[in-house]
Amino acid sequence: MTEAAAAGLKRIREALQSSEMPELPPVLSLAPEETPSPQAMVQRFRSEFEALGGRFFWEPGSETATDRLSKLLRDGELRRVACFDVPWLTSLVRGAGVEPFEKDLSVCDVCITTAHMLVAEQGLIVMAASPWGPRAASSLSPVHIVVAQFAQLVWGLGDALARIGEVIEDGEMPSDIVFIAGPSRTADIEKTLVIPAHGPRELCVVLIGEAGPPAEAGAGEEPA
Amino acid sequence: MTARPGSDGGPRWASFAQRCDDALLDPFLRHKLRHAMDLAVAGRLRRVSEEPRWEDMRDHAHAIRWHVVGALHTYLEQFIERAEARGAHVHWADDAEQARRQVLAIAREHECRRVLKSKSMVTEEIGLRHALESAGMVVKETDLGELIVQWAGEAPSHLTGPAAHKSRGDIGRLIAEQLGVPFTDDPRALTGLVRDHLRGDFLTADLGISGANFLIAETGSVTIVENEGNARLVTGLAPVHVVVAGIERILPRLADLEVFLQLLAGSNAGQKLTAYTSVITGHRREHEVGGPEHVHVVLVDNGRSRMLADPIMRPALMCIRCAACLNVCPVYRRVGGHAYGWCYPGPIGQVLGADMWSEQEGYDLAFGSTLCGACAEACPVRIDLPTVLLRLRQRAAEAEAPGGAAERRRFRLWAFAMRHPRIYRMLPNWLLRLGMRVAPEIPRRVAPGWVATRDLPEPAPQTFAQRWRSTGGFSHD
Repeated sequence: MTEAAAAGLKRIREALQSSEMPELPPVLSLAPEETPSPQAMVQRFRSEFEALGGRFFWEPGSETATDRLSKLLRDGELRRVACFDVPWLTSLVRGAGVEPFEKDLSVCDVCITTAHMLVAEQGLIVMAASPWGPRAASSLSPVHIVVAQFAQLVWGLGDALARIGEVIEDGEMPSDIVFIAGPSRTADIEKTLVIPAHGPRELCVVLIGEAGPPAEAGAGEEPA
Repeated sequence: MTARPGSDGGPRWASFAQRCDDALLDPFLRHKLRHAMDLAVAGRLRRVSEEPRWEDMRDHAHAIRWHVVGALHTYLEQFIERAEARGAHVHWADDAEQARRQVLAIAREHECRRVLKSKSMVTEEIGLRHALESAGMVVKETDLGELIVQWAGEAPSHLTGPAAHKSRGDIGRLIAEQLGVPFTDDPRALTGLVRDHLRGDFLTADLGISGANFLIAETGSVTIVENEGNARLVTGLAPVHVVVAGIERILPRLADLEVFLQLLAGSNAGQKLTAYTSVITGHRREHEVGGPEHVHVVLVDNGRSRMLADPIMRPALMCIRCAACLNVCPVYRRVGGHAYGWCYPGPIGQVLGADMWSEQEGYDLAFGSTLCGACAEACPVRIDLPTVLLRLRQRAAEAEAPGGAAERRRFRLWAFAMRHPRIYRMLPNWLLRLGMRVAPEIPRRVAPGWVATRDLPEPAPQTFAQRWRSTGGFSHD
């Protein structure tokens, strides 16, 4: 600590001298009383994420996820694919018929990553700085596709904050954790909503596993 | 013409009333503000109505912020320790001058020339951009609204919507001029132009400066919320990241973010959460891809410890700068942010202004409020702003501050009249009617400011009390 900081803290201690300090309240739990079912979690994530302008696909397994990915790349004419080293993900991307590169995010068409967590309640994607998650992945590429496993889905923001220690690589806070709620946006001109601002123009989540969507829900249909 | 406050963030008190008058004469300003504020308020109310836990969250947030403010030294010490343990350099600035010098020194130490900023009110407060520009650096704002007001040579007029005072036409002309492109007033096209324009800057900047919405004591982290993604790029791409933060913006635990992020986004304009929330802890670690090599945190006191020692002002340190109190304020909604004369407008700006600048002049702001209570109703951390403003007025009256002595005389007269109904009844109405007929110029002499924009109607032939008696008073029929 610098001397200036120590002196500053001393001044604050003096300013507070005569006052009582109220207790620190325990963290307010916003968790629902009953743990929502997997179906309910995915439904909530889908509705929140789509309301934010994201595109959501639920696939029962790697095979259909590969098909989904190759369809997304084909339909969006996304040729230069950036993908960082997560073995299951890179093999998925290769299965979709593309050779990913790891270098310059500013020249790719799409960046495909996984996420550390998805948060159902607010439709969030949680990514921490890591060997496979460059900080710019969520902001520099024109399209960002997040492929996540069902086990990565949690219910609330509180659950995500509590679990950060478990999901990061070495248990220590990474230099950056980002909570993404849909594509970037601005309303700085007459409060008119514009998407995107500086981030990707398109944000997709492909969720794999826990049985995938029930047949009647239309497996991974395009959102209306 | 809307008055433009000093771009160094400093106060221009001389004519708060004059600036309000100027703003009120601009019908377009009022129209633009009403449009923007109505949308923000409607968004907040929608969010509040669909969130059954909203009031619990406010109670909780109040309790936490009041606790933190009362134990600020403990949490700051913890924050500094943990941030330094993770490799961040933490600096302490007693005032704006020191803060500017520290950031300048950091920029020089790393030989930075191209500086990008994301939105931050405390950097406005300390006048950082101009200090860096005067030292020969190229400094650019990256938040769309901030860039617009930078290009216009103005100051932000709202805590979260810096260009709330500008129409799409104003902005279209400005961008056409700045970028040499054909005029458009389509927000989507304009946003696209700025996106393309800034992309190169993001990739080549060598210093990124941001504010901080919350400092987390438990982890030594800095939390930044935003919607545009510009702060992600400012803080993530340049090799050096400087965070400038007010010392009061602390939360004890990472887990506290769940409530505070929702309250902040919801109170501002009704979002559940902003598009990006970054929790930044120190510099890039060895195994991570990308991120700055150096992170500096400049903690700015600049009057805050003085406010802490003042029981009237202390509650204002709970503020999380959501702007809800501006959006609902009947004064702000008509005069806009520039009338307040410094970077913090609206009810919270009126309170902060009373201390942060000259005491005597600062009280002037405290009188520019209707005390209607809308701000307290909206405040997510339940700061009782009207009461604080009232106490500041009391202090002004006791200190014989400008307006204080004259006002006291007027009210003493009024109080006397109110205590003596006979005398009070004698005064109106025939006397006033007669007076106004015989000497119609009297009101202009006595209260020139008041009648300049208002008509003084002739009193009714009968007073209310006379009418009351003549109609038989209150009747249940």
